[in-house]
Amino acid sequence: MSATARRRRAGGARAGAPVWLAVPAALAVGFLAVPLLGLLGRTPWGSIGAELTTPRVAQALRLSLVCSLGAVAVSVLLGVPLAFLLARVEFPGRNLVRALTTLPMVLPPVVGGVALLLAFGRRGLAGQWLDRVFGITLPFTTTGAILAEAFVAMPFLVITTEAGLRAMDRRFEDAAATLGAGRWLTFRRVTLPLIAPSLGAGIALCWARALGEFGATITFAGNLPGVTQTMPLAVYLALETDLEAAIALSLVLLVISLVVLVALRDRWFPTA
Amino acid sequence: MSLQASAQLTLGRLELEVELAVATGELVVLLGPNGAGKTTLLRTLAGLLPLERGRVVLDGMVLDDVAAGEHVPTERRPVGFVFQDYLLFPHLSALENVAFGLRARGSGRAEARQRAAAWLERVGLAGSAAARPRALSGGQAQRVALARAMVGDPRLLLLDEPLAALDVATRTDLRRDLRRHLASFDGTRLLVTHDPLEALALADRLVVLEGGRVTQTGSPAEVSQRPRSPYVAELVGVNLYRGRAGAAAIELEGGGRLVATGGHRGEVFAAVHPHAVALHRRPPEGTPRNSWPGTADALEAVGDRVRVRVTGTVPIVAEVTPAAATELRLADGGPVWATVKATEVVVYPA
Repeated sequence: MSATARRRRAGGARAGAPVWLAVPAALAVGFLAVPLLGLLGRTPWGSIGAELTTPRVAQALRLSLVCSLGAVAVSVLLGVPLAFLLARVEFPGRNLVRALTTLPMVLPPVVGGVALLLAFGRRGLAGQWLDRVFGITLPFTTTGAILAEAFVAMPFLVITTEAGLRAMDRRFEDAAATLGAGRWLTFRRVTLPLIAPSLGAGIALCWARALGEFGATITFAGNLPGVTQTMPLAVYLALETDLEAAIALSLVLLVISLVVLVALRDRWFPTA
Repeated sequence: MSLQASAQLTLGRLELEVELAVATGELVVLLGPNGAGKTTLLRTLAGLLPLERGRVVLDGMVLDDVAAGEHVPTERRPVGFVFQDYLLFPHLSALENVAFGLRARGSGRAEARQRAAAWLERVGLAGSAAARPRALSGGQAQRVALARAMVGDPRLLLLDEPLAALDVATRTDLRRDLRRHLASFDGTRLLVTHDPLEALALADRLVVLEGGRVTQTGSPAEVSQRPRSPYVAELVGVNLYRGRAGAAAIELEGGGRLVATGGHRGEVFAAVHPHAVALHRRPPEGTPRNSWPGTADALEAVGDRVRVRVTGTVPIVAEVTPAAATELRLADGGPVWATVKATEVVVYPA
């Protein structure tokens, strides 16, 4: 080994972490991983198929799918245009709007649920009017559960999409304009395809968040089996009565989270 | 004149103020250093940047008239644009890239694909129609960009450094191809470059842009023989002086004097080709009209000649044969005498 190589190697070792950092780091890994291993350890592998097909569990699964996909649809329909405005249009109070619309990310979900109830409840600010004019009631309905999940999950989509729009080379839009494409055509045929990776990541995050939503849903939409009782709510309830069903449902949620994580790994954890 | 533009705008530190007229069928090359405003000017003509003041008229159609509040948006201008790094849409195939503009302007799918395919064949890329831009070489991408800009039959074709992104070997071939394709285009053509070779090879007329202003315009021959700014002089490799011509000689701005033939008077430029400069170690015998002492400074091989920079009251670049450079031991530097015949000094009004 040459002298330089030796020095480089020594330098590399010195650039590493102090040994005593390894202890808390190992504790952190254990703390984060052991509960998951515990879940796997207690999983009734033999009867998991049967557990997942009991009417109550199957109902919660189906409802979760409907609500979370509904929340994603609402988020895409409203959130992508919002992200576009935040990224592209200078308007007074833009930062305030961005802060307001991303607040649900850090707001305790149960507070979100209370706020939704006060706004869209039958006596709420907007709910009163919805009830009187259209005869629409939101609390304790599946639509209510969808709204509660969208409220909490949409900011993830908005933030990711806005970042994608900001990172994209806008001269592609200039090129489209010189080729005769108006703004709407350019948005559909150029901008959207170019930000597809960000949009995809945003949708995955938004869906994962909606699927796991608990606090806002139970506060605003309640816990009615078949109507608003999604998987997280069913897990919580089953803990009291049917531990095996709770574990089976938890496992499903864990697997979905893992799939989302793996799908996004290149985006969030690029392999060095 | 088919394109008449007067454009004024401020963008960061650039203050662009340009009057430009280009005839139908004429290929005008905008030449200038980086940051001179060449790309900015193209973008204003395409409507991608708003003018602060000015007017742009193409074939009698007013595209911009700030005073009258008129502005035709980019997508409704009959303009084709080849961008510096081409900006091919990465999610579309070569064929779809070329067909994009036709579709946007209302052609049916089948017709657009057919016309796009015909253009790809014309630029020699029929076999790459299905390829995505990332699978194309630089030269292929350039030709797709050209086809994409030309397929819609624009009245004005704008090309921003169309060869700059290519390696030297491909550039020579593509310059020839580009020349051919540009020759087949009957509208108005405006090409931007900072490469003098490209400019001289392609231009019917050169427009030199420096610091947002036009400093010189003329045929490639005129511009290279009679540069009007240090930038152009450097590009074409000529020694350029400015001074005041009197009865006996030209008094140079930086000091010193040059004797020339021709009897010019007043403010003039004087250009001396490096070939015309002779160097000596001793004061020349006889009385050449122009001779002055200086210091040989830097040596550089240029083709089969050696270029020597001589500093002094009248700084000058000389090109001598390698044999002369060896004989005079110019590599050692030191004092030299430079001489130029009066007939070799080209004088023209400033």
